[in-house]
Amino acid sequence: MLVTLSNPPLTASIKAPQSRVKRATIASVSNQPRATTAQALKGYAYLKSHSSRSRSSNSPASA
Amino acid sequence: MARKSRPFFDEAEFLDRWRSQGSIGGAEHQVFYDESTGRWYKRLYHCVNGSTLGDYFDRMLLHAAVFPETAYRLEGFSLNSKSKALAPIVSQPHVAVATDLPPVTKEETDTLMAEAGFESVQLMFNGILDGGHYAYLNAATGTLAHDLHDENVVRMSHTGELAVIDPYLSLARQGTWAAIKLAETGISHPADDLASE
Repeated sequence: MLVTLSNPPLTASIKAPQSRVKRATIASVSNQPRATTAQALKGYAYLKSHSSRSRSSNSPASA
Repeated sequence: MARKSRPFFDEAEFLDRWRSQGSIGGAEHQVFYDESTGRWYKRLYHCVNGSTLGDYFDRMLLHAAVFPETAYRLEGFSLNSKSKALAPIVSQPHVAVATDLPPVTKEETDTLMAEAGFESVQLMFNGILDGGHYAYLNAATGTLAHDLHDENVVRMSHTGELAVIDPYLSLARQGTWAAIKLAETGISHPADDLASE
């Protein structure tokens, strides 16, 4: 996205920063509510069922 | 599984817990979740990529250095009561996955890894270039991270933050598996190794 500032006599184009992602921290992981076994396994099943690995890569599994 | 002061766990007990949750895992680990600790327990049953047990522990240390938020903890070893075979058991904190949002994209993983100094590279498996581009190289340290597909890089449910939970990390040094994999696609290992020749 380009943001154009126009304030004569200066005109400048500033390139917006690239999209960033938020990385998990030790605190955010340790502060999560404790998951039940059902919740944890639901998350595991979600990852397996939505994985693009089997469709696009022959990278070996290493879990 | 409550953490015990002694370093050995009965293999049969571990396998019972593993089977009770559907015998889940991958090419390396048998895995189960322990609700009392909020951690996943993983028993190494097969070293992949021709790695040794020493390589495996090096990977655990590399993981703690690169991704401390999901660092592994060595819990001990399972012991088979008959054969006396040992296998390491590690644990890792659970990361609650946002199941109402799409999986993490390749572009998001590229950005996440770029911020940690890693650049996307291609590796070759079974003579075919890895179609998923799931490998990343930190050229300054010679650290290779791969297997960063959307099962192993996840979006946390409460914060939307990205967490890398199960990468394959290895050092690319002369003669190592990582250096060989990089050489297959024309990428040399770090200059410090070359300088010492």
